[in-house]
Amino acid sequence: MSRLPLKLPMAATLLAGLLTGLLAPAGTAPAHAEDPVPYTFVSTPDFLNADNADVSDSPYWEPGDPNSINPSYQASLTKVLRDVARWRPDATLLAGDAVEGHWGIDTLGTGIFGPVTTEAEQVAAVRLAAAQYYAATVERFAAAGLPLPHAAVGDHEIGDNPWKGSPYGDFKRRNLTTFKRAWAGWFTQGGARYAQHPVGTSFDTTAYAVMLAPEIELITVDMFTRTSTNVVNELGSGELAWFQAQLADANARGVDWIVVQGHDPVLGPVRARSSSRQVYRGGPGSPFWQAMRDAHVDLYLHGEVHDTTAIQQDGVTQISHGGLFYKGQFSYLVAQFRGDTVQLQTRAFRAATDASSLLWQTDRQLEPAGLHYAPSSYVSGTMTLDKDQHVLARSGLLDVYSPAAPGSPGSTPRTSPVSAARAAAPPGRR
Amino acid sequence: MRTLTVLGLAGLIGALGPSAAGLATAEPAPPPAAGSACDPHTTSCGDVSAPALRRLAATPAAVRLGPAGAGVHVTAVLSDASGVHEASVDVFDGSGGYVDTYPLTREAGVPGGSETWGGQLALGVAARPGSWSLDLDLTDVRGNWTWHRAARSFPVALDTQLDFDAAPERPLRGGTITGAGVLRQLVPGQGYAPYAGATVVVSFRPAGATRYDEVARTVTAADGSYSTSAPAGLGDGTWRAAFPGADAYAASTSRSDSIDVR
Repeated sequence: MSRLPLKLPMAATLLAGLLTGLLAPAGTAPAHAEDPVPYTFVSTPDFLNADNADVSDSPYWEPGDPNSINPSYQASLTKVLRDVARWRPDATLLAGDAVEGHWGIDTLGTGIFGPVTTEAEQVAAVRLAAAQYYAATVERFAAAGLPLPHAAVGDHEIGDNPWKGSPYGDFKRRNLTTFKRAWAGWFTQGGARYAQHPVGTSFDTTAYAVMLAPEIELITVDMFTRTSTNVVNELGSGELAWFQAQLADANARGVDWIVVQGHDPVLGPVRARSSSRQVYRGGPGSPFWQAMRDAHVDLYLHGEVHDTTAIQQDGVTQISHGGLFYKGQFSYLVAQFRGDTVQLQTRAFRAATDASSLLWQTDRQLEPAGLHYAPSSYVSGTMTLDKDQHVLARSGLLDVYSPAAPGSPGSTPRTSPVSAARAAAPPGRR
Repeated sequence: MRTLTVLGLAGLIGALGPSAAGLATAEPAPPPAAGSACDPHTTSCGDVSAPALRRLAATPAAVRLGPAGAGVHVTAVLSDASGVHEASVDVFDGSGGYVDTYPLTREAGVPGGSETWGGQLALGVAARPGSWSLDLDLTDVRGNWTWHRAARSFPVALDTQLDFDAAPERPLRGGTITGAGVLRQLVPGQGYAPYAGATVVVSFRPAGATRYDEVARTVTAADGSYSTSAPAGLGDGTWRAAFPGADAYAASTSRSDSIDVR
């Protein structure tokens, strides 16, 4: 394969990794002392899990109306994406929840996306909001010099759970296809972006497989299936069959690394912050997980929980990662494939928030208007795996998670009073 | 009440293992954790203070935007027990809009002592005039971070050009001198255009004197032109005009014109 021809001995690979990418200066491009350059992707699930865009572009917006962005968010977005771009990733991944997605309603009655009295008006408002917020996502990545993300559908791409028990829940379920199509138009070009997708199923435009490199295959699944009364967190039957076939094909072709991306965790327990903690239906007993186990999937990457945990089971490594940007918790995963190893690291930021006022969204007003990020990230966890899923090294949040063990990273309060005491300036807001 | 929340990732000191020791020179350590080996309430903690800002300056103190924009040099005098690892400024324009973030680099000093960090800001031709401000981010090599909101502000104004001519060059003592010229304002992206309705002050400095005194005040016409007269009896000396600045436009002073009275 062109990108991974050098099969270094394990120890040498690990040492090289420690001396180069893992310890790369945050303020400069990561060093690639090895030849060849590793294949690198960055994964940012749940980025932003909020609606942030300049909605004054909406034809319904009028002077005096609120907006979903301000200069402090623009500065913070620029800084964190520049930090991501320093890795010069070959690809970016986004395992769902790019937005808040409570569209088709207008809690504060602003009319910014038009009237939402009738169902037809609600659907139109969904489409207009999607165009605003997804366009902003795509433009942000492009402005930072980052590739268009290989994205997945999260619960917020389909309006957020629940999908029953209220008129709005029923609306979201009835119009699930509208929500998914609106997303797919931006991230899979209605399915056309990827050659491999589950044709003939209702997941045709939201699930796909792509060779990131000659020896790295990414399979993205849509784990939100509509039933007659609800939306359940599992692959549709046709999608599952396609997924199993795709894995079998990857095995038959001898693909070295298989990475699967979906929104929900399958294994637990995992750390979680500000999350409804959805999980994949059936967990490790599900046909989905068993398919990954049987096909020797290397990495299962997901979001939803806004926190970082690595769990190995059945020869598959599940990585929970990502964090809520608007809470100052944005983090990302860097994966660098070198020969027979993959080096993973999660990176987080120092940040401050000011919730004395809030940014506008169509429904829940959650985002503090004051937000400030430090310009560079720091390492919050590392993990190096070989092709046989041996852990060569791990640390920090990617170390073994034992929620019951006092003093473990997972059991320690995540907001440090030490850090708070060192704050010299109120974050303020702009 | 304003709620301040500063977020840090706890529980990591020691968790990164021996390799983390190498991070000190490559990138800042993660934030210290509460209850970790680095407890600020003990003496074993070492440096838990973020870099201190002694002075932040912008040069020039007042920025004049020309046809090619403008440059501003930012200088920060800092101190930190462990040494400053990273400094940067977020730049906000006259309307409060975010412009860009610029890294600063160490220009003088050594870690542990007084350090001078600086960087050059490039203001583009479309920069908005007004009072610009800088947020400053500081991180030391131990991972201690702080930031200063609106740590420095400086005015940014669009360039103006003022020409002036006094005539006649050798007037009679009982005659008059006419001062005239045109005031132009920079229109971003379009070059210079006549500046109408602006006040222009015409001043005179007698031969041998060091100070100009105002002689007349006038307002520019639609084409930016102005004209005013003064008695030649003021004697030999030098005349000039000045635009004192207004709104988004920088002050400007014309060249001087010497007059010998007969």
